[in-house]
Amino acid sequence: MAELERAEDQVLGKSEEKEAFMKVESTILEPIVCTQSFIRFQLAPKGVLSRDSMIQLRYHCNSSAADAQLFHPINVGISAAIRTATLKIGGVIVSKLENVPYYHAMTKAYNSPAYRSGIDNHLHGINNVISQNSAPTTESGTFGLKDVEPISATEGRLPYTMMIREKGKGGPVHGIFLKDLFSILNDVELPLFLLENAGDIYIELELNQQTNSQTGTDVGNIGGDAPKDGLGTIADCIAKSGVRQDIDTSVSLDTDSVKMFVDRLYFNEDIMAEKAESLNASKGRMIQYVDVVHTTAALKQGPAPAVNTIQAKQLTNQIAVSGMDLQNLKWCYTVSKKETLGPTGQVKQKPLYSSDFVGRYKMWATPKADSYNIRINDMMFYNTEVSNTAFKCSELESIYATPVALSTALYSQDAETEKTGAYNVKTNLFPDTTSYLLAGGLELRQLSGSHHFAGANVTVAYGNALDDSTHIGQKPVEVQHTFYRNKDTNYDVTFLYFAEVVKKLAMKDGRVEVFT
Amino acid sequence: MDPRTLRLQGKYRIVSDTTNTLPQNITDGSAASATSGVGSNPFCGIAGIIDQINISTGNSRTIESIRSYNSYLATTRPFFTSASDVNNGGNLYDATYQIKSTTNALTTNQETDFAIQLRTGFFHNNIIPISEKGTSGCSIQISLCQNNNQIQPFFVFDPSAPEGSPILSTTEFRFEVFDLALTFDTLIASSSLYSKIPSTGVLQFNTVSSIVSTLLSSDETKNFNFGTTNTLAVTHSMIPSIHLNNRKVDSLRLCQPENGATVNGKGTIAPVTAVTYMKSGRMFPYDYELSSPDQALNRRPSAMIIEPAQNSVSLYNNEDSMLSPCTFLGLTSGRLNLVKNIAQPYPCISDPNSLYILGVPMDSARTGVSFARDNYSVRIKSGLDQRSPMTLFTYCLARNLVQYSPAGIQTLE
Repeated sequence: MAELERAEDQVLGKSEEKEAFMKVESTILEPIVCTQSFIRFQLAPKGVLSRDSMIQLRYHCNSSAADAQLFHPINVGISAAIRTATLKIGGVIVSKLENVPYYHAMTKAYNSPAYRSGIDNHLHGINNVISQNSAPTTESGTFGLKDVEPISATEGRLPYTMMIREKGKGGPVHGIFLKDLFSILNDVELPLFLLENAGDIYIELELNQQTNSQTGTDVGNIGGDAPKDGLGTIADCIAKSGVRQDIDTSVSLDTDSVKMFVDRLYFNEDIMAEKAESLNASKGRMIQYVDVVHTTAALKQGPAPAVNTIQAKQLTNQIAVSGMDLQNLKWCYTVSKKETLGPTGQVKQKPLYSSDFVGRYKMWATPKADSYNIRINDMMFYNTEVSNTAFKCSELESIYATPVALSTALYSQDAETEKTGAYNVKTNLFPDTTSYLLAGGLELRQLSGSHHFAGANVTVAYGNALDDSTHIGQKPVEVQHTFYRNKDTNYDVTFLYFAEVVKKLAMKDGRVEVFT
Repeated sequence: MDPRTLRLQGKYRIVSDTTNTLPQNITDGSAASATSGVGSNPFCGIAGIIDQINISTGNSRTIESIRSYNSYLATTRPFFTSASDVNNGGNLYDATYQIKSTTNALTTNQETDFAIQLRTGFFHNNIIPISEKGTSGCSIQISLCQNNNQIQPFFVFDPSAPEGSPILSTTEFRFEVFDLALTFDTLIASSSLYSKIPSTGVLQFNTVSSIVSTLLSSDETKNFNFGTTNTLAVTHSMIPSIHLNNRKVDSLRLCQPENGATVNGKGTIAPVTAVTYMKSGRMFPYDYELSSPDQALNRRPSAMIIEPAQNSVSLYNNEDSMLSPCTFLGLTSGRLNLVKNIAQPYPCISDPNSLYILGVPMDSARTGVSFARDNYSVRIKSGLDQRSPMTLFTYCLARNLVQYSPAGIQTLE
């Protein structure tokens, strides 16, 4: 053991003072533009932008009758409000994430149940961790939501902290990390101090709106409305005594709540100089980061399938990532079809493939598992079509080298549907409202198969290291699907693809350049 | 081969022996019928069908062999997976893998897809060279168990009763797996890189060997000769011998010693009051008896006994586990809601009395202890009445070191 040389060395709990090599400066930034449909923040070119910087949002309901009756869709939370997020530097779009709620519904599913329950629940309004409900033997073992407040063994309610309040009465204030909106911040901490001459630095959010204020028993499905303006776009509504409510469900952004909590990092001169060099394009240097390319495709309703049969439709969708370095591809299916359910009951109509709990952001699991293969650079990625539901989860695991943490009951209906005929549901893993009542009687069974997505990791190794990707040639990536619909699910389908590609960012003559 | 991506995938169903139809389990506690009352061990799920796994090189040299794989899985898996992880992610790869037998029974009503890992020590490696500069290929032989070992009744737990009512179908069923495929990623080196890869190397992995014996008396010492040089841990589980390969009960149950178990029912618990682990007759690694008769006889957690047993599985990584006073002893704990003061009912928690093991980790440094020349012994004091044989499973976890070369593989340790 080294001999103690100085008197102060003998004082326990005291160490020699060293110069701090990093300083964190936290500021609150107000938006320069803030409307119900658009928010713009401007960042000053100082310091290094921390990936843990966060945007704060709050919504309130427009009607006093809806006070504490609405909540954000449980699989995406506050992300439901954001349609598109863009990071611009000097007019150059560095990162752009479209259809944010669906992308977050996928990526948040990788968070562990403990994190979703303890952090995402409060920060984002996400509440999709599954546990067994407490209903006694009538439906023993069936699933329910873990984070509910029990009223009795057979009834629970969503946490009061999730409920959207009328203006002036508070309500939940949610936050979204910038790193969740812009993958670039997962990979690098953006050196804003280098961008002094690069032009204005903007973070822009295009917002969804839920303006439908019409009331009636067909709330949420007013004839002729575009689905984006209806119930479930930003918020869903609880029921009362097993009956859906006849109230105004429109919500508005509390513009006073919109803020960005910006953390800027300042390092010592050596590290700042090192960061500057890493972006110096005149010396051939640039930094790599991941951005998301979004593609949509549509599948029209097919000819009506016969009763008790299922109809297969083969189609190929092209993903526009030619010339890019592709890391992985994820996709989901949505249906915005609305249909009259029938004359009985309080709800004459409702969005068929929306859900009481996840609203528009239901990622549909087809009754019969779809199959797919991917063509990359004229080579088939799999040597056979992928159709095994469990194996799809295994493929999703290899994307981020971490498993998807969703219940099988949320991910697919594989354990519920018969495997013949029309693949109808024969077993329910969620209880009916007579044996367990949640949120006043919303149908837990609508959660079944509502979180389905698939994907493939096209990097060489397991996981997604930045320097590991597949360069796509001139031909676009093709995803070949065999898609199944039966008589009850024969609707127009939208395919949403999210391709994560590696881009490069560099500074040249004071300007930002992005290379693919 | 990247073993992290290795999956055995296929389809699984349980069908009636007579009509070839799927069960129609109803979990509302109503009486069993010809179609209701069929399940499998929820903590094992589909993997419970695997009785033995043999892994060998392309030139038929055995690398690893695990007998009673399903029993080993039932013994270990709940100790490194939490109930929440099973409900949220664990059951994606096997819908029948659940924390409750009723949920397992519901999923059994349909044919389901699966893509399961093979949880052997060899496949717990990073990258395995299976080219000619390695194991020259890899052969995996999987032996399936009897129907009666996998198929069992399901158990409905009344909100206040720790003893679940078994629902057993009045007809017999069998399991089927089909459309099987083994999938994995391979990293293929370019010819220039391949030429630089050495043709000899060493692989290190943990492996499991299992021994089956019988426990009969109230104070019994069992001796085993492992012959392993780097023994990391030894774990024991037990079940009434009459319950092995018995479709009328859970044949993969982890129970305490029981007196008077019948063909279709549990016996009276004869608690373990003290355990002593020994090496060549000397107490090891604890130089004292692990004794907690007061807790055992008063249905209280015997932390002195269960804590080393848990560590024998987890090797001190105890962040995720289903072990609780409920799963260990059937005690409910906590409240659903402190304000409402509603007791935590059995329908919403892991099945009670479902996890009981004995065991001891040998070395916290994880380098292992040699039993090459020493016997391992365990002395178990319990309330067994000498008329109720318990089958005792013993799993020895040891570090294995093999060298591969063009001549084949050679075990170094």
